[in-house]
Amino acid sequence: MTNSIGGDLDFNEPRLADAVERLPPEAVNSLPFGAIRLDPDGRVTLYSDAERRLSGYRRDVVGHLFFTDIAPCLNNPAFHGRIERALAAGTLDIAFSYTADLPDGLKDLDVRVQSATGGGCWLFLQRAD
Amino acid sequence: MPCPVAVIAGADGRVLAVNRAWARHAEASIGAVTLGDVFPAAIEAALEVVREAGPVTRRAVQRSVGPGGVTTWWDLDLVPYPDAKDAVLVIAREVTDHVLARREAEAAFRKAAGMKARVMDRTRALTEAAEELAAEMRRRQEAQTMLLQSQKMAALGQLTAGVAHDFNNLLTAILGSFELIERRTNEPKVIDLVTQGKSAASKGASLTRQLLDFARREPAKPVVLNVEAALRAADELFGHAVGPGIVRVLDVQPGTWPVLADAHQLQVALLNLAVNARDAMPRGGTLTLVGRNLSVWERPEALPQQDYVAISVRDTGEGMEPGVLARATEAFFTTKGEGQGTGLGLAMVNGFATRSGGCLRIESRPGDGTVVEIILPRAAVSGMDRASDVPEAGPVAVGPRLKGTILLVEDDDLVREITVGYLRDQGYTVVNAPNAEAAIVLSHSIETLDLLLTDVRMPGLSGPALAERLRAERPDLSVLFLTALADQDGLAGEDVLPKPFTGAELGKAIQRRLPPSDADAPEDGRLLRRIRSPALCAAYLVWRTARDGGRPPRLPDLEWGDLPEADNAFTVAVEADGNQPAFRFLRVGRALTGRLGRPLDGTLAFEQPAFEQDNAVLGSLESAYRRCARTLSPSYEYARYDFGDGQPMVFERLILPASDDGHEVTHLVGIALFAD
Repeated sequence: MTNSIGGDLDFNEPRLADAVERLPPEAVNSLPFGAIRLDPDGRVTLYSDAERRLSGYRRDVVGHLFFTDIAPCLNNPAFHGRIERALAAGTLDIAFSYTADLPDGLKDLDVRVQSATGGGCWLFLQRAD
Repeated sequence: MPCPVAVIAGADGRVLAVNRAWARHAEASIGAVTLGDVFPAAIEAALEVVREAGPVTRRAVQRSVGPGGVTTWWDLDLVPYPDAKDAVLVIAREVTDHVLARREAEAAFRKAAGMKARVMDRTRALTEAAEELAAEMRRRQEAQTMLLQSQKMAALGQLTAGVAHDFNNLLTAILGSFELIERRTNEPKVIDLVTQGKSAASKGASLTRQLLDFARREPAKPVVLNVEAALRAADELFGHAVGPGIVRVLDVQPGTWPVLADAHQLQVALLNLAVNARDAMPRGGTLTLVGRNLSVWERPEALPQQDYVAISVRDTGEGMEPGVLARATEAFFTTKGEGQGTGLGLAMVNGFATRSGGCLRIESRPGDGTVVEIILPRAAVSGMDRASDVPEAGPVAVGPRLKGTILLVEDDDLVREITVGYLRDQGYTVVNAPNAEAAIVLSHSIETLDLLLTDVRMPGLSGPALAERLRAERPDLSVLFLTALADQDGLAGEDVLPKPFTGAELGKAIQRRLPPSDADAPEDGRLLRRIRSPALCAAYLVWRTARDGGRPPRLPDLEWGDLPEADNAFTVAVEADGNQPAFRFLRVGRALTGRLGRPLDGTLAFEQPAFEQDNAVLGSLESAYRRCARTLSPSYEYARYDFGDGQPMVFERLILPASDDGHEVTHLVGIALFAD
């Protein structure tokens, strides 16, 4: 069952992006955490069903500056260069917490950003509660 | 009366002679005992007698405690004994009974006096209460009168609005005609007349604008109405208007939904219809008031698809010809004779129906009577059911703060019932009252009142006045006002929730006003689980211990000395300036000072040119502050960055809110940890 394949994956798996990339598309949709894929230009190329279900925020919130706008300290020109270089080199690996202010209250999220194969990156989001 | 004891005592006090009654009192042999041994209270008097050395008398009172603890009181009379030098004769009379009786009498007297005083107090209190009651009755009477007056004004305003609208239309037509005439003529005389005509019409237009302004000052107050109750009230109202020749019938179907409308305007509308019905039945007949839910296929096509309720007036009168029926709601159209009707009644009712989101339906056949139906949308307390509004539905998450006692004051029975339901579902203890006076009485039985939830306009004492009274006894009382459209007075700086509201909106508004309860262990556990660094866990626990009940601790209570990682800690005072909070450093740990690279105490954070650096080291304090201010809980963030350039970074930050007054977050204590 595709469910169980996706369900076995741990959010804290060190090579999470690699593991997710090996999954068939349906399995990505049934992961217990949300997954978004951005292309090198920052456009969303994949927005998993789980993401829609779990986070509840709107698609237009996600953009290529997603993690720089909300990650602590990353909203800092000093980091932009390093992020760009890491993305170009495919070596980005960031994890942080974020409290989203949604219509039905504050939600604590754990966020991971990892370089995707072929450029761009993956965003993984999990409710922290 | 026992015989008094007589004692003669010599100059040295020794007892020289006694009478037989002495044996009752003392056993000691005379000569061996002094006056002082027997009657110590007599000594002073005896000395005086001897000193005076003349025919004097002195008195004294002696209390003796005999064997078995029996107390005896003696009245002593002392006189000089002439037959010996410096001797005195003491006559001692037992006055025990006498004294006791006197003392009892005195006590009784005092008690009576005390009781009299208490009775007088009580009487005074009762008198004051009676006066207060009388004053209250007067106030109510005044309120009633004012209410009646305002109702009259409202009716007048409504009528004026209806008329003014129609006047405006007529004037527009008049002005239009004049302009057309003006264009078709060159004759100066005609142009002159046209100009005068236009001027007059313009004046008319400004007059109606004034009328409209006047009318607008009396806004409608829509409330959730129980149809049966409204029709019953209308029925009572009609009694006089309709007269004895007409039989009145009330026919409200059980289960008729409530509607949202201005109660008074509905009464006026129904009165209009009743008067029309009466006029249609000059030889008597039956007037029926009907209330029923509209079935799905009866819904008006022109209105949004939703539930509707029909409130109708039916008569068994003459009915209307089709031509008359078609014009029935036209302003000024009337079939009644001169001076018998304004022709505005149905126009007004129609106006009321459409303003309330519904419409009017008339069915009439000559000889068959007429039914006029006011169709109104069903009141979902959750909204006006306009398609564009998406009311907040759905259950409110049961969070950790749903405990507390709320005093709900609302004069509309249905709204009060529904609101009590919402509150109890959400776990609150609710005491409810239909008016402010009852609320005051009930409030005395509530030990800890967490929130006053009250309507604003009520007959008698208003919501703001009630809040003032209760705040006199409970200065910290949280108050949330439920407001209707036009409520303004007395609400400056207060929290308001506009009616109509959903259960979810009510829940959120209350959660914001209620202080956090002690029962937020789940919140605690969650935060503790997320904090990675043990030092920050410990800091969080320090904060939690320093807390005052559910409120953030005062700054002095949050001892830096207790904080682990004090080198990486900082304290800022929050200076809230309009929308933008500013943060002033009060104290910064050594390590952080080093990172920030400059002396900090007393300066503002995030001031250029240090903005970016402060941001990088401290993170965004503004968002943390907003979170803390809202939740009164710490804000935690962590981040782990690996850019693949050999310089990974781990950053963790805990912001602990502190408050000088227990309500507003006035200070933030933060610990920012970096690991490169």
